[in-house]
Amino acid sequence: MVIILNDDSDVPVYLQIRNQIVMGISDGKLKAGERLPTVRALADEIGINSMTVNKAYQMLKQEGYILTDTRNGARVRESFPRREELSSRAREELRRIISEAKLSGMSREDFFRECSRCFEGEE
Amino acid sequence: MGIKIILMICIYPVLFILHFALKYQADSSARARRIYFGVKLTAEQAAAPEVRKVSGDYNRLLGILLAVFAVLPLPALFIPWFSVYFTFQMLWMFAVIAGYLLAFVSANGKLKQIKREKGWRREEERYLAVELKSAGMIRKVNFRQFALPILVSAAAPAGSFAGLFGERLRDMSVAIGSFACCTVLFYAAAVWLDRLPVRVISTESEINVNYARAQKQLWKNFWQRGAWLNALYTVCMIPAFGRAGGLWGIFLPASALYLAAQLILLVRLLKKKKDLDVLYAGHMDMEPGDDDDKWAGGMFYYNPRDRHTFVQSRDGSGSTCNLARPGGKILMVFCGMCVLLALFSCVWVMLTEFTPIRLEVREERLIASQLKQDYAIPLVSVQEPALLKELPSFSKVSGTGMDTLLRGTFRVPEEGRCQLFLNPQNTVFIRFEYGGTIYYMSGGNDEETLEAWNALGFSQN
Repeated sequence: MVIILNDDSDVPVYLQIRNQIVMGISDGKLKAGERLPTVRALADEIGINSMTVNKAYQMLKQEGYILTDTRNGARVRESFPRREELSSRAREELRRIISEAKLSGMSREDFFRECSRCFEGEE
Repeated sequence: MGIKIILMICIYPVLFILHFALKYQADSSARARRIYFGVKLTAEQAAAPEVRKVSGDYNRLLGILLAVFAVLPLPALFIPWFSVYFTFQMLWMFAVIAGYLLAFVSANGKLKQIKREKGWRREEERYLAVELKSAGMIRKVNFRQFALPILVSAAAPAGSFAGLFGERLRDMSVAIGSFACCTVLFYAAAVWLDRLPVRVISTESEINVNYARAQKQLWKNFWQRGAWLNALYTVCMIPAFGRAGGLWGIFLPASALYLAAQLILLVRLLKKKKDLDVLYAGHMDMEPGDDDDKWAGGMFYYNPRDRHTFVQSRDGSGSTCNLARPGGKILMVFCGMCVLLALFSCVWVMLTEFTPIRLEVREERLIASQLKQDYAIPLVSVQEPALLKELPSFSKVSGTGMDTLLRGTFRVPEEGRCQLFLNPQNTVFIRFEYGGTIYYMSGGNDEETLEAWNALGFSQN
């Protein structure tokens, strides 16, 4: 799975890593049980501090997307906690996106159509 | 003439390496990687007439540079003074490097300007792509693959130092050891390149992983074969240095063969990398991020946000250092100091060659000096002085060996190590013993030598 990072972005790098791994799991690009690179290997590959990658992995672990142990490194979890609702942070993010859509003049129908396309995984 | 040819063999390939490397960078590598003279362009942008003109002008300039620089060193071989020839070779090498770099940097500047004027640059393209499935997981180099050539290389200086190949080789064990060290450097370079990230070429992970594996295998093979070549070359130094006058017999052909073989390995590597890019061209659906602003002149990487000290070079043919990192800065200062040292050595060699040596008896001591006082030997300690009309054959252990000056430690058959301080163009020389060491000396000319001899003889009587 390819992750795209932009160091000119307003989104911090650790959050970019976290977001793209979550999207990868959701799209099926990262399978359940699949190994992720170690913190050090990924930090070396990107050319950033290990702490940044560690922060992203800790976040993913807390959110229940990955498992980490000292022997096997990090793996995608076999099953994910089914909350069936958005986290407070995701809801906050969604509010921001809806506000931008409203301000750009997007209709409710167009917005839902866009959401539906994203939900189905269409580009 | 021998030393001039050796110097030329060492320096002359710089021209061809630079020529083919920079031509490769602007040609096949560019097409496969969408990097033209260090500037990221799409295939359509690269086909624009302005871009093609820059490319055409650059190729023409490279052809002219090759023709001019290839011819210049040949007549220079007939320069009678070594120091002038040495200075010429150094200046020629720096001119070649500067000429080629300027040609490339100029083409880079023109393309950047065209890109700016045409509005081809898009901010959203400033990204870094990382393949999660190959990060830190693909390693092709391990020590076992290099252990044998390193052992073979180490055996040559170790055996020489232990005296297995005679006394003469014992003196040369440091020189042979320096060749052996290159094998270790080959291993270090292999490890270093094996750890560098490989460019992401596709949105498909499997393609990226296979491409990275193939790239790292090519590099591993290159360094491993280079290490074996270096090990063989190091072993060849035993017969080369072991025979009196062996310089012409083995050293020169072995050095020429070694350099030619290393060049062939390099050309093969570039060709195989090009073939690999061609093979994967149909799968390259991932455009590289636009990081033109991080590449000064299209080839010098400066990115304070990147923690890598070494990164893949812009054309992907090798690696370069990040000048924003402390390691990169240290390396740049080191390179600058090497250039200054090379220029300083030209001045030093000229002073050494054109300052006549002096031999005189003063204050009851035999004083030998050139630029500084080299020897001051009390006359009462001089033993078994003799005036020679002919020098014995000898080989240099350490010191200066020029047409007009032999100074330092030399090995004379049947006498062992001796100290020489003389002008070999002279016809009379003084030989004597002092403190258990044999000395051969002369003045700047025969008159000066005879004058010193007379003073020495008077004192001895």
